Amino acid sequence: MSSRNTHWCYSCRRPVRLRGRDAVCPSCNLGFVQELNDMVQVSPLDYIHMGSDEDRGRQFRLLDSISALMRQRMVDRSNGLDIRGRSDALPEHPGIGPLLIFGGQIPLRLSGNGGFEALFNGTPGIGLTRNNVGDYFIGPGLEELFEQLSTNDRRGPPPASRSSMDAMPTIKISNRHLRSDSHCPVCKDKFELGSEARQMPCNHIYHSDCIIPWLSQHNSCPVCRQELPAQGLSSARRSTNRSRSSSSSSSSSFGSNANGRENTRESHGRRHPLSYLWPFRSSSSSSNHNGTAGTSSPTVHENNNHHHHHPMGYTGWPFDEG
Amino acid sequence: MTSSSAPSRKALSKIATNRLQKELVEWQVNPPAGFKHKVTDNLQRWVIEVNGAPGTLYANETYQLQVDFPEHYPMEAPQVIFLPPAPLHPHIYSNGHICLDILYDSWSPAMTVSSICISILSMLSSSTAKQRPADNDRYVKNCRNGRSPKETRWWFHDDKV
Repeated sequence: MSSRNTHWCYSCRRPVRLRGRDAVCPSCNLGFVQELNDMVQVSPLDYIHMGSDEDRGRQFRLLDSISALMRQRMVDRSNGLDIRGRSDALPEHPGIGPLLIFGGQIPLRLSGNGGFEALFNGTPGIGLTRNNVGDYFIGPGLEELFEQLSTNDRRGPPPASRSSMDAMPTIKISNRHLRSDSHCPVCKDKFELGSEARQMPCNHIYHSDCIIPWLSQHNSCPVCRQELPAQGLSSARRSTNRSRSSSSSSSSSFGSNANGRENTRESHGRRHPLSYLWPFRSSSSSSNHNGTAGTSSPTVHENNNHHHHHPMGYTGWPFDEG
Repeated sequence: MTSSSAPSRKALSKIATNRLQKELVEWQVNPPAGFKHKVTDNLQRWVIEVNGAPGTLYANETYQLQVDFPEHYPMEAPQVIFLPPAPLHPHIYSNGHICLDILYDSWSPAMTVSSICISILSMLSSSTAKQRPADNDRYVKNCRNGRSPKETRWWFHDDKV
């Protein structure tokens, strides 16, 4: 018999399992409940809901990391809420759950294979509970992590650093420039002879007001995707960098270029400043690995991800290893 | 219905307006082969007719793309979807959403409506099977509140198709 929670109670702000057939919360007896399966399922979980069997192991490792992190924080607070013993058993005994992580009022559901559930929506405050007991925990700190996980518009290459943008040379538009690059690739306006422009290491030139806003979001040349070099390199070796210029034509380097994507992927991992929050493998030692978690139940996998193809690897994420 | 929903419709910034006016002029002078844009007074939403390229699975078929521009175009990608009926293609969902990296993570402000169109036609042309993505039903069900494809965290794979 399942001990899994079935509904979210908006009054108690926690997941519950209904008793009998009445749609009321067993704790507060109010009817402001919603079936978990009906809930909108979005963002943070997108990282971990992967369609294929082989990825459930990875999904499970993330769950494991989350739970390990939560345990660590709970222990830190030493409020008598030490559930280490029981939690450690989870990966080997999937039926023992559920473990719930949630925050805010409108939870999102993550269902692991072993009675794990995690609910959160990125708003401040993360809670954790098990088995309907309500011994949950609200703590600061994690919110940034979840906010980051749930922010969906910070994709593509990470921003360029202020210093690397400052170090980008300003040039005067000459006839030579006009012959090769007559228009700014971003605004599509003609460059004016004698006016100023900024030159990236790949030699592509832009109006300062056109390129800076882009680089502040993504360190990637709009034409060829080359990055601004990390600061330090740029000032000392600016001139030699020009020799690295990849292509001066914009025609072929666009679009579904595999290299471009490769870069995106790498940088995606590299820029997670909160990775240090993860407890890594140290405390999530329970040797779950792909097999145990991955095969036990064919559940879940409902969200807005599309994954009719190979999911992206999250290079740089600790749970990718091992 | 997905097709009628737009991303948060903030008016175009001045920069976006300037850039789109230029693109519109350029389009009229030099439209990409196989595409027709029915020009309206709405600069922020373009509806573009696509003709399947001769000699491909989509020859003699016509589809419509809807392109919605965000306030800060071209710093952000436009939202591009097929209006129903969307072509049967392994990377095109029945709700019109298109799995194509340049529309999301790989967007660059040097790209244009015209270059997007060419990428989409090339994606159609290289298809070897008229079929929906394997996860079509699940994906579409999860989008039923009119979610923009830009909110989806796409995973891109090979670009053979």
